[in-house]
Order: sequence, then C-alpha cells, then structure tokens
Amino acid sequence: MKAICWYGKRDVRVEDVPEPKLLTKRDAILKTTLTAICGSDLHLYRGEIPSMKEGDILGHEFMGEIVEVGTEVPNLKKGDRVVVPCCISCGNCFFCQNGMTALCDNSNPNPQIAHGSVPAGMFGYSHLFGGYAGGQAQYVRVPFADFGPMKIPDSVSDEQALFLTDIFPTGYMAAENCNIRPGDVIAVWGCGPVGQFAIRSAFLLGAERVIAIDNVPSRLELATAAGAEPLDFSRTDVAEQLMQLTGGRGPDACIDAAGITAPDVLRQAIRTCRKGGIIAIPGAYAGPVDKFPLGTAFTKGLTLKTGPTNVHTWMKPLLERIEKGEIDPSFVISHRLPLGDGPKGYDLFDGRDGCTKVVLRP
Amino acid sequence: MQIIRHRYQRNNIGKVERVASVLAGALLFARGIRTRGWLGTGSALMGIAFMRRGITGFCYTYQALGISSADARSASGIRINEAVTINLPREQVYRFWRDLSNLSSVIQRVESVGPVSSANRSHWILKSADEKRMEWDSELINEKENELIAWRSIAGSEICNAGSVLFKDAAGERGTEVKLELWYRPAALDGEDPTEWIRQDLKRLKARLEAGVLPQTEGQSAGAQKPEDEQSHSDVVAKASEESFPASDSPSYVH
Repeated sequence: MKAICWYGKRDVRVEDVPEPKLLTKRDAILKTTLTAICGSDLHLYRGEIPSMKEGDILGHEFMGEIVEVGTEVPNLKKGDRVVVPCCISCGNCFFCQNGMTALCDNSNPNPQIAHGSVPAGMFGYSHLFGGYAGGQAQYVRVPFADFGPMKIPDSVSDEQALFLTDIFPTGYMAAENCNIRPGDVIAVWGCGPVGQFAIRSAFLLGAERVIAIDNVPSRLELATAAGAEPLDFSRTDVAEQLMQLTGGRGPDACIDAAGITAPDVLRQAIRTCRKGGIIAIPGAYAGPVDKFPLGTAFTKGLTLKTGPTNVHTWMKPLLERIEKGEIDPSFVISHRLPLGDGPKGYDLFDGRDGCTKVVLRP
Repeated sequence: MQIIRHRYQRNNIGKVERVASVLAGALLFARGIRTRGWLGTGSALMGIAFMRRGITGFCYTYQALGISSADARSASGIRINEAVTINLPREQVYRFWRDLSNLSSVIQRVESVGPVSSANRSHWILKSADEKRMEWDSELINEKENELIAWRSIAGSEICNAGSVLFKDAAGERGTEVKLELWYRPAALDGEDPTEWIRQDLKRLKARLEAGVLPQTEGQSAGAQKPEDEQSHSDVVAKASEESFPASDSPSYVH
C-alpha cells in the first residue's frame, strides 16, 4: 500500500509499505477514505520534535471504513464508517476513565521515555508518543479500537467529520480551558487550523470578542470571516494593540495555537493576559523554553492549561454540534490532493500563505 | 536504585560482638562516672564509645582496617524500590501476581518461571543483555493474602536475591498501589542495571491488567528503515528535556 513516510527534515516520501495486520485482539484495520496533514505534522517536518525514525508513517487525522476487527472489538464490524481519535487510549486506566484520554497510562509502548511520565500513544507522531504507524496511508491499524473510533452518520460528510480526529477538539478544548464567561475577550495567537477552530469554538462558548493574531493574510481573512478582529504581528506591536483593544486590561484569556515553532508567543501571552486570566496552550511543545517569564505569570495570578487534546472526550458533543449545523468544519480546507501528492501538500502547508489545511484522499 | 554501601559501613560488627560491646561499654561507663578525675572521665567516654559501637553495629577501627565480623549475607548489595498504581481492586492484582505463569508474560528479561517440586519454590531463568542465561530457585518466605508476598533465592543460588511486593489500596478508590522491593548481589548481573527493566515490567503488568493487552507496535507497517538508530529514543528525549532552547528560536532535533 501507499503511505507517507518521514525521512528527515523537510524530507517526506510516498513509499510502498506492507499492509497493516491485527497485532492484538483489541485492534481493527481501517481503509482510509480521507486523511489530512496537521499543523503539528509540520513540527515533525521541520525537525522540531525529537525521536522520529526514518520510515515512520506519518499522519494522525484520518477516517475511513473498518475492514477487519480483532476478537475483542464488539462495537465495530466490517463496513462501519468511523473517525479515529488521534490519541490512542486504552479506556481502562485512571486517566481514560476521567476524561484525560491523551494521558492514557497504557497505550505508549515506550514507557521509558520522558522520565516515565509518558503521554498516550498517538498515530504517526514520533517515538515519544509511542512510535505508532500513522494514518496518511491507504490502510491503518487502529489499536484499542473498541474504545477509540466513533461511527459517523450518513448525514455528515467525510470533510465535515474528519477534523473530529484532532484539530476541532483541540481548538475546542483550548477555548473550553479558557472558562469563557459573558463579556470575555479571547486572544488567539496563530491562525492555522487549530487557531481557526479555537476562534470559532470561543464564539460557540459565548466569548464577546476574539482577537486573532497572525501574519498570513489568507489566515487572517479566514479568522475575520468567523467574526474575529485580526491583528497582523508583522505590522503592529501586538502587546500594545491588545492593551488598546481591551481598555488597558488585557485579554481575559489567551490561546497559544502556535506552539514550538514560535515560542515567543507564550511570553507575549503571559505579558499581555489580564490579571487572574488563563493561558491555554494547545500548540505543541517539546523541551524547556528559555527565559520563561514565570515571575510575571505568578504576580499576575495566571492559570496555564496545556497538554495534548483529550479527543475522545470531545468527539461526541462536537459531532452533535456539526449535526445541528452550528459549525461546518470543512471551512478550513484549502487544498484537496491525492495521497500520492502528500509531499507537495507538506511543502504547501509549510509555506503557510494561501494554505490553511490540506486533505489527502487515498 | 540504591547501592547499599552504607549498610556495609554501618554494619561491620557481628551480633555477639555487638552485645558484648554494649555490655562492656555500660560497665566502663558505670565505673567511669564513679571514679573522679581524668581516669574516670576517660573511662566513661570510652564506655559511651563502646555502647555506640554496639548499638549501631559499626566500628570505625574495623572500617579503617577493612575488618568485618558481621554476617556477610546482609553486608552489601543493591536495593531497588519501585511502585505502580493499578486501577483494579487489590484482590484481583494480588491473584494475578500470585500465579507465576502470569508473571512470566510481563517480565521481559525472564525467560521462564516455573514451579518446582515443593509448592513454595519456583525456578527462574533470566536472560542478560548478552543472552547469557542465569538460573536460580526461589522460595516463598512470607505471604499474607491480598497484602504481601516475599521471597528469597535459596542458599547457593547463582543469583543471590530477595524481594517483596506489597499490595495497598490507593486512597479514594483509585485502585491498588503495588510496591516492589528487590535486593540482589550486584556481582550476579555483570554491571547491568535492572532498575529500568523493572520499571518497564511494572508498566507492562499495569497495561496487561488494566487494558487486557500490552501496547504493541512490533510488526506494524513502516517504510524502509535504517538499522536501529545509534541513539535510543529515550536518550534523544531525555536530552531534549534537559537542554533548553532560546525563546526566540524554535529548536531542531534533526539535522
């Protein structure tokens, strides 16, 4: 089968690889109908996340049709149309049972990594996250398939359902972490796909205003279309503008949807957030960041909320919002390519302008 | 992991000698406080020193001379303490551990564990990193249902070891805390550090019990790969977790 494999910094290739097999009784095999390149895949593409290995199959946003199930997957059968959460979770441990599925204790086969406090396994996202083969492939092995995959009704299209795997829940959890109250102003750094969903989720959760910060015109336009006030950081002093826009208070909550690519964002957010406010960090990080202004965070009494997304927890309520027509996640797609053009998709997405989201059809 | 050197230092006097030391010390002290002058003070101080020697079981002179009259068995070794919390009732965790055939499915380095003629004994075969096999017989020395299991290798074993596992309810109905303590003579393992294996084995035990299956990636699909990277993944991540990068630049872990 065809799969997109990682070979190094800015080197991803379409390779012929063996088709996946069931490896445990809780596995299922899925035939991919639609997959996507995530902004966090660009961290891998740029070599910003340690522990990748040549030949690793990329991709953690995918959906498709079940073609085979293990003996302990009673909820699924051949032919079911499902979306699969990007984090792999057992459903049995303390974390899974308390809604923190991205922190699952039992799905990461490399427990020696990260001082033993490993995150849940994740499809195609380095050996720190378990080294699982990813979903940018014609077929995918889905571990713990009796807990993860969610069936999709016919009324919801592939393009509408696909982003339930990661970026919609990720943007939504960031907004949810902001404890939004009536009148709140939310600032979102990074108007990539997660930022776009964070902006829309903040409005869904009742934010009065959302300020969207980026420098890519097409992304700022998309944010403006959702009702956000754009701020181009290449043209203005963001800190000063945020103070102006909030009557000198600072935003009630800040969302860092940029992550490790722009670590300066976090410092800016801490500096500008209003006292007692919340910083939500859906953007991915690895390793310590220098000159982290913890002193400022302390004196301002800020709350920091971070971590990978507990996708399982949000999939169902968000599917309901899609079904009710409250949001159509396909708005974010800018490019539709065949799987074989994956490397081109990575290059386009890495270039940012004019590209917000690439979906790939095998 | 704890290398018990201090136990060797703190305990270099045998039991009989310790008792004798305390008695002699007490006698000297008693005589000392009844005698006036320097001689009395000296005698009392000497008495205190002897009592200390007996009570602590450690003699500085012996250490300086490299002498020990303590039982060699308890003299030195490596002790490992590891713990894991398993989200299941204590009875269930205990029952799983008590069945040795279950254990061999989660302990990676153990090639086999099997019962031998006596009910309280088992035969263990361990593989070292260089595929060397080590075998020993172990005997159960203490057991409290749903609470405790303790064992030690029988006299004359190739690997001299002892251990215990405690099962405790985690507060707030959060499952069972499994606390493992192992002691072994380092010579047996050729300088290998088993702490990491044991930590991983406990995680495997937890996954096996909670999830029913172990997380598995061996045998999955991948593109053409170079032979195993020189650095293990844990090294790369540990390094990344220690080295900070400037906030103005994103890091690069691949060149």
